[in-house]
Amino acid sequence: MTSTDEELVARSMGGDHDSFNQLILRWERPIYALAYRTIGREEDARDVCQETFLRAYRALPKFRREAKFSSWIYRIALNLCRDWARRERRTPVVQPPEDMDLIEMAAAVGPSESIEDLVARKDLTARVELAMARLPDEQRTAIVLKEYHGLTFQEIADLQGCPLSTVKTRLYQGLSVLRREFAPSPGRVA
Amino acid sequence: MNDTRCTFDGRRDEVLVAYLYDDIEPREREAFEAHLPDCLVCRTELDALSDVRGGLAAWAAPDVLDGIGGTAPRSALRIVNPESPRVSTGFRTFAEAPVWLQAAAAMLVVAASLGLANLNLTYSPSAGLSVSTGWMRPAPAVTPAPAPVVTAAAPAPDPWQADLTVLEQKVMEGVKAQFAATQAPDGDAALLARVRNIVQESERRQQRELALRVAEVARESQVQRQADLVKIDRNLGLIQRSTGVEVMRTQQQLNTLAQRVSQQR
Repeated sequence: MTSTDEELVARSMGGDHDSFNQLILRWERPIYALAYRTIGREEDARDVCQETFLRAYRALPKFRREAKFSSWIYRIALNLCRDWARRERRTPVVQPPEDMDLIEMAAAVGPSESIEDLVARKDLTARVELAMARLPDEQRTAIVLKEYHGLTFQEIADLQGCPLSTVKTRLYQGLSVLRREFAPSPGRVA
Repeated sequence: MNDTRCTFDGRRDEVLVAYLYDDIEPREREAFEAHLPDCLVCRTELDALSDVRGGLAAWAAPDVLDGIGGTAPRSALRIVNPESPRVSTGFRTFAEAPVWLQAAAAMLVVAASLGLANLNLTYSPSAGLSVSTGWMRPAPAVTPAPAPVVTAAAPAPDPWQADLTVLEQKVMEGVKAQFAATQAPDGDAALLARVRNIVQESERRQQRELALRVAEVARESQVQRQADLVKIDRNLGLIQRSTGVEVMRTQQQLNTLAQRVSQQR
């Protein structure tokens, strides 16, 4: 039977390293995806992800169990992303991963997708990445947390430390900018 | 109902986003759903933002199947119990070696230091432990006594020297065993297999990259071709139109000329 996060956290706090490793296994993908979409660099996202779990492990004795582990770990990751942005003093750089396995992606979708569709999808991905990188940090983070991590407005508000209405406004403004960015340009040849 | 302006209350943007993500209070949902059929602005925006969400779905983060430690196995980031026994046979540091080996090595170092410092360390049950210097100095010349010479028996070797030799051998055997373990053929084979895997993976990646580039070039040339065709078509149309206009003018001039000629007659 699969243990809940809370059970694994309790056992980890008691010194069970395997339980913490299970938490890493469960959360490393979402945390890495969050870091990648927030800072836009694959290598740095890996570093942030590793650092997130290391910090969590060190701070485990201070963890208050009434909070959700996922919220706690998201908060650590977001703080690290913010630190990264401050340190680098620049907006996220969109950099397609070196080994972007588009062929494998296509295979995963099915043989019906042609190479044309594949390239078109890559174009779309690049446009999304660019448009997201241009958004202000707060709007981008709100969209990433809602769109890709399925957090509730309240959870995002807690993570971002702002009122619920601000989260909704940030989402609305961010999506509206993306809407304009995604609109086909008039001179584009189909 | 006005189709160009929304008449929903002041928090319309927030409610629209909440409705879009299906994270909305039931009362707000009810009010917004009642408003939607009559408001073209909200319907249009809702559709457009849904399309944006569809576009966002295309943005996949690179997979971390290879582990967040890069190409290392997925277990690259794991907490390991520092007190758990190590399976590895090699000692990375002196501190990882067994206690007996550390003690023996320490004794060797002490013995070597004493030798270098020219110190004589002796122990006898009667005199106890005594330390003296200059034990390697050549012995003073012995003048033969006129009395009948009694040759002293050669002193028996100190027992600690034998122990030291045994310990030295033991340490050397231990070190040799460790060295042999790290140089085992299994280790070489595993290393070779790993290198081979890395090379194969690199080749596969390059092939994929090449296929992708080729597809991109093909697509770009196709797009360019279509654009060129559109341009040619447009230019041809312009030429045809101008030619038609020219023909019409010539026709009109001919008509005018014919009319004048018939009038003069």
